[in-house]
Amino acid sequence: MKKILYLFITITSFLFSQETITFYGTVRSAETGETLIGANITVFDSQDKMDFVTGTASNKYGFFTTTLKKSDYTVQVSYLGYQDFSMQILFNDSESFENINISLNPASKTLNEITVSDKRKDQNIKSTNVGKIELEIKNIETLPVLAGERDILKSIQTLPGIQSGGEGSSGFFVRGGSADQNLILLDEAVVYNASHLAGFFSVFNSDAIKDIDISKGSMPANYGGRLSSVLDISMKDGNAKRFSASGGLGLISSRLTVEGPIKQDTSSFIISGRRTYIDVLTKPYIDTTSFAGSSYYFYDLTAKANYRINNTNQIFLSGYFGRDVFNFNSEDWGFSVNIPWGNSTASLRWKRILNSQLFMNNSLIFTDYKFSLNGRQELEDSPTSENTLFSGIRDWNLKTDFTYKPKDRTIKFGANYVFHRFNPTSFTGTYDELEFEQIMYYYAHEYAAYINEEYDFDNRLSVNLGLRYSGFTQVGPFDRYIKDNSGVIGQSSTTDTISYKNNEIVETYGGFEPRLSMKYSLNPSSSIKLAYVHNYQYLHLTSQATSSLPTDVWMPSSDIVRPQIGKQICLGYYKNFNQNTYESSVEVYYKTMENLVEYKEDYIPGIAIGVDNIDNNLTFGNGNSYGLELFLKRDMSKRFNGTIGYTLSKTTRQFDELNNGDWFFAKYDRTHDLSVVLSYSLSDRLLISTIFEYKTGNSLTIPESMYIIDGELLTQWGDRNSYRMDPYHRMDLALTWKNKDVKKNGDIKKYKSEWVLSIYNLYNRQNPYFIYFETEGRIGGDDPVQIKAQQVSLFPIIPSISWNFNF
Amino acid sequence: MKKTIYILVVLLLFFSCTKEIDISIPNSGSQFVVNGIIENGKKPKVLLQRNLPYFEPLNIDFNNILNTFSFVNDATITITNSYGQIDTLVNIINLGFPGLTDTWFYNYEGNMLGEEGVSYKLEISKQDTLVWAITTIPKLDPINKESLRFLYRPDDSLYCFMQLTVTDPDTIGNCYRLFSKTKPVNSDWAFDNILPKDGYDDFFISMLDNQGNYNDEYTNGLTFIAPNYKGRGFWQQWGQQEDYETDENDEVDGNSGATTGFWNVGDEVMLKFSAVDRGSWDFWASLQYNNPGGPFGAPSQANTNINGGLGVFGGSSSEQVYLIANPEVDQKFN
Repeated sequence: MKKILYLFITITSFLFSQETITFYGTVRSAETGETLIGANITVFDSQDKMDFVTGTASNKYGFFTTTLKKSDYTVQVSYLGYQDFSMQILFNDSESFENINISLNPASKTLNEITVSDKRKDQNIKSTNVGKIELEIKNIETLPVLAGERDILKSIQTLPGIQSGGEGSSGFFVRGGSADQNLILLDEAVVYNASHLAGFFSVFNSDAIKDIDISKGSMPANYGGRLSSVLDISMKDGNAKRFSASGGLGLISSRLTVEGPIKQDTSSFIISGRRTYIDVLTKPYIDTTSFAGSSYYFYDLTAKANYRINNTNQIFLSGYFGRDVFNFNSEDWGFSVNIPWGNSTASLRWKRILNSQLFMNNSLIFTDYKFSLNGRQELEDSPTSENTLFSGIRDWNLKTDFTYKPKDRTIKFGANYVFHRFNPTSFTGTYDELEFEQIMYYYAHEYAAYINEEYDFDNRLSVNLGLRYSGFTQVGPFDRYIKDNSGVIGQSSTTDTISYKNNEIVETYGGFEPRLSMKYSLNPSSSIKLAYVHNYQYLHLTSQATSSLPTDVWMPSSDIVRPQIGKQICLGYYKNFNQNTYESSVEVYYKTMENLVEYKEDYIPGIAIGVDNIDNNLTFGNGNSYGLELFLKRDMSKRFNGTIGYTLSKTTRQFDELNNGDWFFAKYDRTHDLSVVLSYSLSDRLLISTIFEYKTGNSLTIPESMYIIDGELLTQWGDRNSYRMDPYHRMDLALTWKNKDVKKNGDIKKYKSEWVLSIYNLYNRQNPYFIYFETEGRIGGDDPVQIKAQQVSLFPIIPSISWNFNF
Repeated sequence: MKKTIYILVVLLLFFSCTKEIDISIPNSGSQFVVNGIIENGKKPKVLLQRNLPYFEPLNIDFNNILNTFSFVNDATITITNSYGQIDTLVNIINLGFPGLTDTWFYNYEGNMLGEEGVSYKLEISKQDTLVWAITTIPKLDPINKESLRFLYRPDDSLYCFMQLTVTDPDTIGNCYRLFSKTKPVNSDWAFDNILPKDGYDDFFISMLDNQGNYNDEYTNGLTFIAPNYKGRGFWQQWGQQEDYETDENDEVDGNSGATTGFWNVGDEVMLKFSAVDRGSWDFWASLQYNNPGGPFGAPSQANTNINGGLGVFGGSSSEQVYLIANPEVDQKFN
């Protein structure tokens, strides 16, 4: 296979080399040495009145390549926030076009640094991508935030088609998909739980992030394993030129990032950490109660190092480690609980420029998400019990990706293998002299190979055609408990046990996933696009809660759980105005989802851990979603810029065993969803920005009646998600004041800082967060029993100030 | 890092705000709610009622209980045992007052005495409505009375909890419920409204957290020591976790505040240990998830073993033990 590949590459290279040259290289920042993603490379014909010849953009590794007819050219490289760079290509001098390192100098005006550096200005109409949005971290830094905490996940929720989970939630739902249908990658490593504090903050520290891409429509074939979206986050490589530090002090947490060269221009590192101090602030109060020792905090640490072996080889080692920790202590009951949970990831990557048209990236990735609950009960003269309830998922992932770019086309191909170990829920414990160990793992191999070709037929029609084959094999050791028809959970309804040995195949699933997206340019400023995506998803997040919680568990497809299947078609019209100052788009989509999972209605959690298969309690259904998305954006480099996104959509679910088999609204179905983000630079140092959001309220299951058994008031619930909460709307405002730059050594700025004043929920709207049903009075009490619906709103107007610096 | 880092003072009005809202619930046809029990050596008892509108106030007068609930008194109820014998239950409400089970009221009673190992089919019909349920009275192994003892709450000599050694038979599927009924040392603390006013609480309380339930999924065939708390009766509030700071002047009665769930030293206690069938056990075990009342729980129907209705019909085999809640005394069992 390898020989055939090399032969193929050699022949095509030879063919093209007859009449062409290939201009390729890497774009970097001259200031930090970071590779620049999405830099715009435009080639003009030097000999023919400087006519436009072609354009390309650097990929996520800063690499670009373009094939040209033998001639002399002038190249212009631009990246907002940086000065334009010009160079000449001389066809008889290979050093002028082969493996060029282009370093861009930052623009001198401060204004450019505080505004957003956008991608290629007309990328939205020229590319075949439908529903793909690239964000830069600088875009996010100036937005209003809650309690001074920047949050990249909250920022993407302002985009059309991406719904937030609600107040204070980092969870997101793309085009009617569930939370588990988003592939969240941090330097290629899957992040299984992307939020701290039950969804209030995302786990990503924005200081260490370079670039964010989100695909919600035309997911290219190099991505797979999730039905709804890919959020691909790239970490910074670290400053290769000099040591620097940045950080911020906020209301509930602070953060610090240090980066610098290990060896000048060859290797660099970055380390970034963040920790909350909620526990420190509340400790003096809690220690006066009988709950002394109870606390909550979270922290995360991100680190990366890279080494440039030579101009064609570079290796990267990056890692993430984050934990939330909750401690509870009750002296009266002699009871204490310690609950840590979080992600760890490590990625080792090797990128290599094989030749002028072929780029390779290989990765070895480790991902681990763990939740555990350690309880201890110790009373005098009574047996001590200690137990640990734990769940999680651990992956070893091997990946190879190639980008081959002959003239007029880009071919991507590669393969991916993951070994999963799932622990849906287990426990170990000691109780007096008894020892318990109820551990159940699921093991599985997931594998995929893909090829994706993007081809420009002419300047008008481009086609991006992809095919991915993915497969999933559950293997032993594994025990499948066969159940009778009683519906009883646990051993008493087990009629047989099938035991699988190490690596014995339990079940295999697989299939082809065709991907297609097409662009047809109507004229230089407008285009229409069409995309179709077919996806398999072999992992399922099962939840007993209405909001995303660390106790939600990841389940694999198994002999009784089939993979989720998603099919989506979308159509879009894209139009830019005023020399790309305004971008606009209209997209419509229709999506179907099969084999979605939920717990059965009579499932009782926790009563048969390790003695029954948890997936025996799941039930399966389908989903539909369709919608219309409108988007308008004003160029981020302008003093006044912003975006307006609006979505009109409907998302429903149907499960034979739930809700009498009738269709019901998904919890985050939103008929209307409007987000307006505006930003205005009052001066070089002062920036004002605002966000306004309006969304249809969440759907909710409400009670239908009550009844009393043995004095206990019980609720009979009505149809699933048949009630709508009030609409959600909110406006935030932020003022960013940059301190005067401190100059040292002539005019090199060494130290910068800024104050950010944020006002969250400016007009103090009491948005519904959840509704609960409170019983006033007690049966047997003097007053009548009366149940009342109470609506809880979380955040009133919240001003906050934070201070950020870097030097 | 030579520069001084200025610590910032930030305003945070970190209140969450709650307001009452009106929700109109569409009228749905009311269902039969069954609360039935058949115990070994006792007659079957059934309370038949209908479910109630959710937001209507409920005035419960224990002396005029007939007018409080939506009792159904004109249904036909039969119980058929696995021998094929049929017992037609009689509505007893014409006596003027419903009957009392150990845990609540009933309005129908039969004559067939419950027997271990026997199954019972309950059928209720009224006009076109028919609901039915099946239960079995399981076998109860004698409890280890000699292992019963009380222990003081930590750093305390006023309150205590119970400890019991349980030996589970080596067959999977044993389900238990544990109850207690207390005659407090101070008679003012008892919930004793209904005749015979004997100083004891009117009803038994489900002990343990899990609605007084456990089964042997994890402990099949094992012998172990279990600490047991008094539990919470429907007339009590869980004060335990709400009382962050205990006021010395708070009334200390084992029924409220930080002492809920413990016995006062000197209380007289009737302990009831029941083996129950799995269908009714699932009903009781599911209740803790029925109304989660927060953002982090999903609404969950209570399980039921009543086909066509709500509630539970449970067979059980029980044993009662009289105890004195005092770590210093030897228990005399009768």
